[in-house]
Amino acid sequence: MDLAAKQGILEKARRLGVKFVRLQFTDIMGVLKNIAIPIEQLEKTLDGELMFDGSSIHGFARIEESDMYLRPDPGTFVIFPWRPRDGAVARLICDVYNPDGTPFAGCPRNCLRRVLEEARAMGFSMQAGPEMEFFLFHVDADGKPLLETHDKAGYFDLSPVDKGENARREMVMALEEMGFEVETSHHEVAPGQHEIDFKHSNALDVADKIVTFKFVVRTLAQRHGLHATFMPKPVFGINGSGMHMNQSLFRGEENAFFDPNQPEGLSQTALYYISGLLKHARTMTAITNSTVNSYKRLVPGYEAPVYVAWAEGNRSSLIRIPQKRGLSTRVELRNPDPACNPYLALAANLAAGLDGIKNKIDPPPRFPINIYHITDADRVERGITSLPGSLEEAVKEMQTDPVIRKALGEHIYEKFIEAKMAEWDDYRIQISPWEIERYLVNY
Amino acid sequence: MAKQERIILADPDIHGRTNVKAMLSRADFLVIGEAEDGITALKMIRDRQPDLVLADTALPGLNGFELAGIVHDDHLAPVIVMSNLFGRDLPARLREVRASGFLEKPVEITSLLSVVEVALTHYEEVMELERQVAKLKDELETRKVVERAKGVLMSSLGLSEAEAFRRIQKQSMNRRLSMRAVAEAIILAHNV
Repeated sequence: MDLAAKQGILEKARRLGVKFVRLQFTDIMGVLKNIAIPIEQLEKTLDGELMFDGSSIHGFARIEESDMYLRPDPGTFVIFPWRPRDGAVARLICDVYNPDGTPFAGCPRNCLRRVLEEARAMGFSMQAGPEMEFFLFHVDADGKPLLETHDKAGYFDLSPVDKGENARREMVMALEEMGFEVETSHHEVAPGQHEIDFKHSNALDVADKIVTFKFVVRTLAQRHGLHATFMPKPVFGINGSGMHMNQSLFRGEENAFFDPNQPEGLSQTALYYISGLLKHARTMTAITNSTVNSYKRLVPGYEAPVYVAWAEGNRSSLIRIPQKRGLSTRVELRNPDPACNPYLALAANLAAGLDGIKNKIDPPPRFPINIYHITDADRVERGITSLPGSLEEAVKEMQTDPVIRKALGEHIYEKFIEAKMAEWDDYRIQISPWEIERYLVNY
Repeated sequence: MAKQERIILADPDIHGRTNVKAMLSRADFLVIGEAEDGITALKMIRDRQPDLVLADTALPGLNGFELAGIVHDDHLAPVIVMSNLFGRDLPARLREVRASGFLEKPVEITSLLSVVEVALTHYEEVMELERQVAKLKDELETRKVVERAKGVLMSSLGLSEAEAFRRIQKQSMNRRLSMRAVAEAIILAHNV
């Protein structure tokens, strides 16, 4: 790390009275891990000399190759805003490296960096902006989350305000203190569901912000006696939580998706990128929708996309092109959910889009009407496919796509499939309450 | 009528609560809420904004120390911790979460009332000091910014110090902005 950045961090940590630093990174499943170090160790850590045992992290390494090194990214240094009593706590997001100094292939952040580098070689940088949805649920007296979003009668009768609103306000304040530019924050369609959107930024920064976001929201919910969940579909019959991913490519300071000379204002690059996303939509769903539960959100009727199509304003399609042009020209991919690993999801999206650009694939005709409302036969005739219906189908689809495989890299690709098939098998043999209700009496 | 301080009681033991509540009521305090677990207590405290919280260490869900820590961090109220155990590590834990006092159970009226009084007075003083510090910091920052803006006006428009100050003051009144906002705008415009 360059000396100035290192000195800057050490100085800031000293001035703000930091006592502990949390070194954060994510595993392949997108779960945030952290190692806390006392401030005395910070200098050594900034030199990339902090070793940890990688074999204990899911999907990382085997026992015999377990030594890993963390290299903190100096741009990610922030102080946690919840008021400290004994000295502040800061965090640094890290890349994981092998003992020989090469980037570790199982580190999702390295994976995204690699695909971003590929885009850079083509002259592009990627901007992304997520829309984060989540539910706030109550917890019982022992702190166990309940599926209840409303207070029990008499409990909070003095207050007319939804408990979630207060908690959300504090979340937004904390995020802003940590350098997020929150654009909107509002109650969502379903009871207890909230959405917070923050300003778009370069893809790596956005992936870092997504993992930070989830951590901040969960922590602050807990401090309000609530439970925040990013599970894609926690309650049957109401909308699930998505993480729509707005994305665009830039060439220097110019938005490469914008072309004022085209009637729609969309450049050829944008159209190729859209084609790439559509072409690989089915094969990257396992990454963007990575849990068994994700597929219970991707059903018709709840504002979640099901069919592989694109349109200007139509929200039933997989890809929507928001009205804004100029620097804000972008495509909105609507299937990702907040349980996915954002580094891998952005890497897969970008690789798919770049594939469209490289191979100059023309997009299918856009689809302006609500696809939920046309017949299956009509859909087949127009060549509109559906997203995979289950995690199993999605993983099998992914295995047919060399582009996605290359984007993930061999290590992550294999570990991901192994873990997800195990997850599916575990789910497959369970007997759900629905089955009991349906069959126990009738058969 | 004198101000009645509003208190929330968090204790899983109903006898303990009844006992303490009776003593507090007789001493003219208002018990505005009772909780049997830490999470309910936390939500109640955020909701009803009491002047004081009494919390047993053995609360389920979120124990009395954890509750006291969060309530202190978020400046919600002073918390007096109660327990029927006095372990070796207790003083350190009380200090760690910045508890406003400790009561051994069963709670006796003399210690209850004195600990409550001291906690309320002390907390009020600390809050007042914090308000003053925040105000002074803000004033100091405003003064620094206004000084710099005056410097900008004096060098760029050739004004005297008094004239420069008057300019900023007048803009502040005309535009209904704080002096600080006007000064910041002047500095920003100068740097562009």
